[in-house]
Amino acid sequence: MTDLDDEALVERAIGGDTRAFERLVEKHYRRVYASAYRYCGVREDAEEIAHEALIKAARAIQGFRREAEFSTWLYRITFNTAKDFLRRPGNRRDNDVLFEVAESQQSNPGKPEDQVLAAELYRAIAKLPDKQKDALLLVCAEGLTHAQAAAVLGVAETTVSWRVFRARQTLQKALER
Amino acid sequence: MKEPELRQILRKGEVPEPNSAARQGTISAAVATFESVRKNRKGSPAAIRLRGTTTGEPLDQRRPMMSKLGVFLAPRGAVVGVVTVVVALGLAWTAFTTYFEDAAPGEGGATPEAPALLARRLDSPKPQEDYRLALRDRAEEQLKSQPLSRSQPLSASSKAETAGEARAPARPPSIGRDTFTEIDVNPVKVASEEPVSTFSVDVDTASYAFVRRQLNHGLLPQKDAVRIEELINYFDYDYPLPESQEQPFRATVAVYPTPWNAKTKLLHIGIKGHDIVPDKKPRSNLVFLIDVSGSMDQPDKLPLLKNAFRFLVSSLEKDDTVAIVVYAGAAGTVLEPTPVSQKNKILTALDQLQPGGTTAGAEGIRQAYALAEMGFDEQAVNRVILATDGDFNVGITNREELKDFVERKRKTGIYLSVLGFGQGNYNDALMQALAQNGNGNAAYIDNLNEARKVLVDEATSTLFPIAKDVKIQVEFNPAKVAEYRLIGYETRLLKREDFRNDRVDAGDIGSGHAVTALYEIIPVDGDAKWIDELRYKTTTGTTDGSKQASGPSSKEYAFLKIRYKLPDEDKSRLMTLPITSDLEAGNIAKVDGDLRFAAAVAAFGQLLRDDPFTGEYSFADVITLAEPARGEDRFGYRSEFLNLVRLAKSARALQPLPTKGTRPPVAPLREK
Repeated sequence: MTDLDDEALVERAIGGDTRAFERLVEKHYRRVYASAYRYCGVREDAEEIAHEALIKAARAIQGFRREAEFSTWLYRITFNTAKDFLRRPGNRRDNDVLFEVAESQQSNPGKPEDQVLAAELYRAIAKLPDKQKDALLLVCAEGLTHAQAAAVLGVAETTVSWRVFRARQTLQKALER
Repeated sequence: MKEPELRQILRKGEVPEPNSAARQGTISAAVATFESVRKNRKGSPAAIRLRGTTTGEPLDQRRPMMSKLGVFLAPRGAVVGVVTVVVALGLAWTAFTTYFEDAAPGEGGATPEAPALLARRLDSPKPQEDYRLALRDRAEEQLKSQPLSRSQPLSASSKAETAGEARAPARPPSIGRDTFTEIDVNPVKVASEEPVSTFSVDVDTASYAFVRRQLNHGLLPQKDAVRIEELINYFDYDYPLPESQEQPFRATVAVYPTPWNAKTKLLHIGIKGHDIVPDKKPRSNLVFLIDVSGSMDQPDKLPLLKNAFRFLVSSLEKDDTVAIVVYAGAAGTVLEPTPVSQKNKILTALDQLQPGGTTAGAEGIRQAYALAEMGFDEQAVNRVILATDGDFNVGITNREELKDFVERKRKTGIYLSVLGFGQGNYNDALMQALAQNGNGNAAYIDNLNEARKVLVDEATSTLFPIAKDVKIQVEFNPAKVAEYRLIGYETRLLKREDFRNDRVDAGDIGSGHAVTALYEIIPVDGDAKWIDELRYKTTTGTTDGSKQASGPSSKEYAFLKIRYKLPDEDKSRLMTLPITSDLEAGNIAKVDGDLRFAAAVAAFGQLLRDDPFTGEYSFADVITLAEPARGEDRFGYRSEFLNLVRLAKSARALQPLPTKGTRPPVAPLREK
C-alpha cells in the first residue's frame, strides 16, 4: 500500500528528516481527513480528528519500527483517534446530521441519488457496533483488502471477513426498515 | 447487498473538501511536533525509541499509554492515555476559518521545551476542569512555536521613524483558535496629498475585555486582538453633553502635545451622547440566542453567560419581552416571547440551559429572528443577542450568507448584538462582522464584572441607539498640518465617498455613550517629519497650502464632519466643527483629566502592539500619565486599567520562547 516514494520519505522521517516528514503529511493529509470523515460524518470533526491523528503520528514516527506498513500504521492512528474523539462527552452528534449532503453535491456530475444513498449507508454504518464498523469501513469505504484490513486491526483475516459479513447483514436489515 | 456493490456505493459518497486553513494548520502543527520530538531526543535519532510505539498498536490490542497531562482512569482501572495536542473543539465553526492565524504556513518553528511552557501557564486549568480545556492549552503550547507569519507591515513611509529602532520580534503567536481580523497599523498620511480621513464610529468594547483576560493570565495578547479605539472607548468620559434634546450627541475637540512624542500633537475628538430619559426609554423586545454546544461547558462560558443574562433581565422593565433560543446543542426555542413581568419563568428557563447534547441543524438564528418578528414592535428596540464562545453554527453555515441575513434583518428593524465568551475558540473577526452588519455591538465577557458592566450598567447604551450609521470625516488643513495618522480604527476605515453615501453602514452610538478618536499630527512648522519631502515637487494635483495661508480658515488645523442618522430615519444628518488653534493647549498638564487618560490608553494600546510610533515611551510612562487622571473612577475601571499596565510590564519581560533553533533574542528591554 505504501508506494515507493513513501518508502523513502518514511525512512528519512524516521531518521529525523523534517522535510521528509512534512512531505509525508502533505501527501497523506487528505487521506487521513477522508478516513476520519467517513468515520464521523462531520467535516469539522474530521478536521479535528485529522489534526490529532497527525500530531500523534508526528510524535511517534521517529520510533516507528516498521513492524507494519506505514499506511497501516497511519490507518490505525486515524481510527483510534476517531474512536477516542467520538467517545468524548459532547462529541456524539445526532445521527441524522451526519454525512450531510450539501446542495452543491446534489447537483454534481454523479447522480444525486448516489450521494443520498451513500450518505444513508454511512449513517447506518455509524450505528454499527465498533468492531463491525471498523471492518466494514476499512474494507468497503477505504478499499482495503481483507488482509490489509486485518493488519490494521491486528486480527486474523478470517475475522475481518466475518465482521464484514455481519456488518453487511446488519446494514441490510437497517435499510429494509 | 454484496460486498463489491457496497464498496461501489460507498466510494461514491463524496467527502467534503477540508477547510484549507484547517489543513494548513494541521500540517504546521504536525511538523512542529515532529521537530520538537527531534530536538528532545538525546543521542542519535536512530538509537532512541519513544516509549513503546505509542499509537502503533493494532486497534484490538491497544496498550494503554501515559499521557503527559495526566492519567485518566478507564473503566477497568487500566490507564488509558490520551496522547495530547487536541486543538479546541471550536473546529465546529470552521466554516469561517479564513482568518485562521495559526494556519499560517509554519515557519518551521520548533516547539520549545514543553515543561517550561506548561510551568509558565500560571493560570493553567485545575486538573478537575474539563480535560478538553487542558488539552487545548497543551495545543496552544505546541502552536506557540510558530511566529505570526504576518507581522505588522510598517508603512514604507515610516521608515525614517523606525530607522533607529530595533524591533522586538518576540510576540506570542496566535494561540489556539482565537481569530481576529488582521490589522495593518494606519500609515502616516501627507496632508497635502491626502487631506481627508474617513472612518466609522466604534463603540464596541470586546477588545479591551479580551486584552484584559490575556493580561490577567500573564500573557501578552495577539497584536490583532488589540483594537486601540476599543481600549479607549471602554471607559466613560465626561465630554460636554449636547445642549438640546434635539441633538443626539455633541462633539468636542482639543489639540495638545503628544505624550510620547515631543514633536507631534494629538488632535482629540470626543463625542458624547445623551442618556435617554428613563420614561422615554423605549420598550425592549429581546431574543437571547445562546450557544449551548459542548465547548460551552466551562466556568467562564455557559455559567458566566447565564449570570450575565440574569443581570440583564433584572434590569429590564415589566413590559419588556424576552425569548430564548438555543443552538449547537439541543436546539430551538426554549422560551417563547415572555413579558418580564413573568420574570421567574424567564430565569427558570435560563437556569435550565445545559451545555452539550446533540446538534439539530437548522434551528438557531432563523428561529431567533422569527421570534423577534413575532414580538416585533415598531416603537420598541427589537434585538437578538447572540452569546457564544465562537461556534457560529447557527443554522446558516456560509459566512457571507450569515452576514447578509443579519443585514437584511437589520433593515427590517431587528438588530443584533454579539457577546463573546471564553477563549481558544473566540472568533472575534466574525463577531465584529456580524455586529457591524446587524447594527449592534460586540462585547467580550471575561468575568462577572464585565457582564454586569455590559448588560446592566450599560444596558441602556447597549440596547438603545440614539444615532446610527455614525461616520466621521476629518479634512486636514495642509497649511497647518504636514502629516497625520489616525490612531486605531483600522478595522473601521471608510472610503472618502462612503461618508456621504447613506447606504454605507457604520457604527451606532448608544444612549450615554462616549466615543473618542485620536489623530497624531505633525504641524507644518515642526522640524521632525515622518516622511521625507518630495524632491520633484509640483504644485498641480495637490492641495495648495499657500492659498489657505491667509484667510479665515488659516487658524484651522482641520475640519470635522460627522454624519449620523436618527434611529428611525434613513437619511443622514450632518454636524460640523472646525478644529482651530484656540482649542489648543500648550501643555498636557493643562488638559482635562479625561483627555489625558484617553491618551494614556492610546499609548498603552500602541505599546501592546509594538506600533512603531511611540519612541522611548514605556509602560511606566503610561502609568505616570494615567494615574493622576483617574478622576472619580466610580467603578474602579480606571484603576483596573493601571493594574493591567503593570501586568503588561511583567508579561513583556517574560518573552515567550522563540522560534526555530536560536536562543531567544533578548528584546531590547526598554526601561519598563
